[in-house]
Amino acid sequence: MQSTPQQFVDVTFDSAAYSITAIQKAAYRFGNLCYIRIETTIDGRVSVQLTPKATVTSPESLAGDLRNEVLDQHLREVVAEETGRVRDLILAQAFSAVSLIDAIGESGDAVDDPLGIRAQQTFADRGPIST
Amino acid sequence: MGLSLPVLNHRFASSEEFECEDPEEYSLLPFRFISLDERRYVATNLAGEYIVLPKLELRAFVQHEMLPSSPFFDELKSKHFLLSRDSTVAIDLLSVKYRTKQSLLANFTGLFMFVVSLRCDHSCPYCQVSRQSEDRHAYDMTREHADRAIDFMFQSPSPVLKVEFQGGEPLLNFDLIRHVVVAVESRNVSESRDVQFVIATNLAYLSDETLQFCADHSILISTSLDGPRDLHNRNRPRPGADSYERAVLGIQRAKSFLGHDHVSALMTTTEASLSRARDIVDEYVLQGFGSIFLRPMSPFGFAVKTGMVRRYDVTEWLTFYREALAYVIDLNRRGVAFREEYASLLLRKMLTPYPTGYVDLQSPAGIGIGGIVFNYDGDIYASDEARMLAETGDRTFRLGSLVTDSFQTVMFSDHLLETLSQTMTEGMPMCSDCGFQPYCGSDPVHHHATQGDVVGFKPASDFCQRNMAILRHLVQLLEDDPSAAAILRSWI
Repeated sequence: MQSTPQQFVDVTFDSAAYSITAIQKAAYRFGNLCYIRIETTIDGRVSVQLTPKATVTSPESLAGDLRNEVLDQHLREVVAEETGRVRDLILAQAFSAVSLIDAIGESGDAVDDPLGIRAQQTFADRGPIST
Repeated sequence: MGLSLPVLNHRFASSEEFECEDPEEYSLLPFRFISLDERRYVATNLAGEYIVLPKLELRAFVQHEMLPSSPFFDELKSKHFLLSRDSTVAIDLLSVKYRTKQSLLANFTGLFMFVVSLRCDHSCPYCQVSRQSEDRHAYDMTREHADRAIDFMFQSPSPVLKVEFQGGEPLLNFDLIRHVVVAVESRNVSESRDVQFVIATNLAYLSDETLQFCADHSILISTSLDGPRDLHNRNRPRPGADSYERAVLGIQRAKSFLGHDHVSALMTTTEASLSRARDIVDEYVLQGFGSIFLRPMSPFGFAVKTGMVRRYDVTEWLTFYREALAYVIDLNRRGVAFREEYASLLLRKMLTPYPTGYVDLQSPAGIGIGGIVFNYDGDIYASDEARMLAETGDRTFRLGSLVTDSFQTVMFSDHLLETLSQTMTEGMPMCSDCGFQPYCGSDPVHHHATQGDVVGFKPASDFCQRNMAILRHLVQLLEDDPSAAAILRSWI
């Protein structure tokens, strides 16, 4: 990290470890605190230059905060990649016309007994009784 | 006594026998997360259930390194953050809960605001609606417009219709309120909707005749009470400087005539309010209210023209909010049953699968599809804030006119649908991956008014900052303060 007093803070990231999207999304969150410049370096790393705005009182924490946020964005990408298809399945199922719970059993009439679950009981001295 | 029971001793294995140190294969289910503080994340699943995890534990979880013996594993499983071999119901349950959360969307518009008059006797400097003085009847809604509005309203498929009379001061055009209520009830004989009427009034003109009418038609009263007399009258001047006295008398009369639960009140936070959090809450308790809705000043209308909205920032308002909330919780500890309404809304989203129907905090945004405004001049607006914008010259969110436009052209206009589509939190930068997304909402009118863009740049958004701060605060209370947590849970 380079820091020139009252000028920019420069943070570089290994492009093999973090995607450009994760770095961009992380940097976006600092847009109210800094002016942001993102570039790829000749050795393939990604450089993020943060120029603090006048309202920033502790510019020394910006680099660490940005690194943490890039890690968080990377984790979000890992989660999104693993869960993308099951997320679509959940949403499709949520808005499908098919009831996920037994629609017949939920609304059926006990007398009609649509699921045929009425029990038969036998008493030794009286024979079968339908309940 | 040293009595031992050898039978029991041999019946159960020790608890250590049940702790599994073997890694268990698990799959991740969709979730979002955000920092709660330096040490912890709060993660939320699609249905809005949350869990708080130390940061290292969440990273291990994502990397499939969490063991079943972890104190968080079972909670992650039970709250549908992971799928394992022995549990297959998570997908079904998440689907049902997600559908429950979204269930009100299918009902479409349910809140209809009738601005029956823009005239008002008060001259509140923060007035968001740019009211007109009492004698200007040109600012009253006509019967023709009201009848068209009723026809429009009944074209919504919603089984529940809430008719809210707004202003200005709506009681200055009470004849029209009476006409609308009777007409709606007559029409509803064949429509069979669940209709609720509300009058948002400062209570300065509450006659016995009005009260009797409200009682006969089960009309709810919503009024403004900014705090104790000195603060309320300072915020809300009127001829005679007696806004507080009239409001309090009106509240007492309305409660005794209509019922305790038929009267509610709202406050607006001004710069003068910021140091009076406890006094304001005490005033609400004194007037017999069971809750208070703490809300900041909205950036519309006279609040902008007079500069009042710029006299404090969101950080100062949050300090006020936390102090007031802490005091409300403390009142509960002392046996006073009292809630903060905004916290209650958020807690319902956090702790139940049920929707709240609160149009200002939903995605897609509540503009048009949650609530709609019929202005005194027959114009139709996407929200009350949209109407307020128009009174100061910005008609971006005017959807049409009762005179010239149909339900279809208004509700399915490209302008409305595009705005709704562009501003869904599921798709906006920073919102889409925010851990608080299930609890938050979209406010395109607010972002248009404050930033000139319906999507909004969330790092600079006071709406975002306010909601994130309140949500973090509530989660921290639920996690770290058991007695406060028990009180908060009782509010849902």
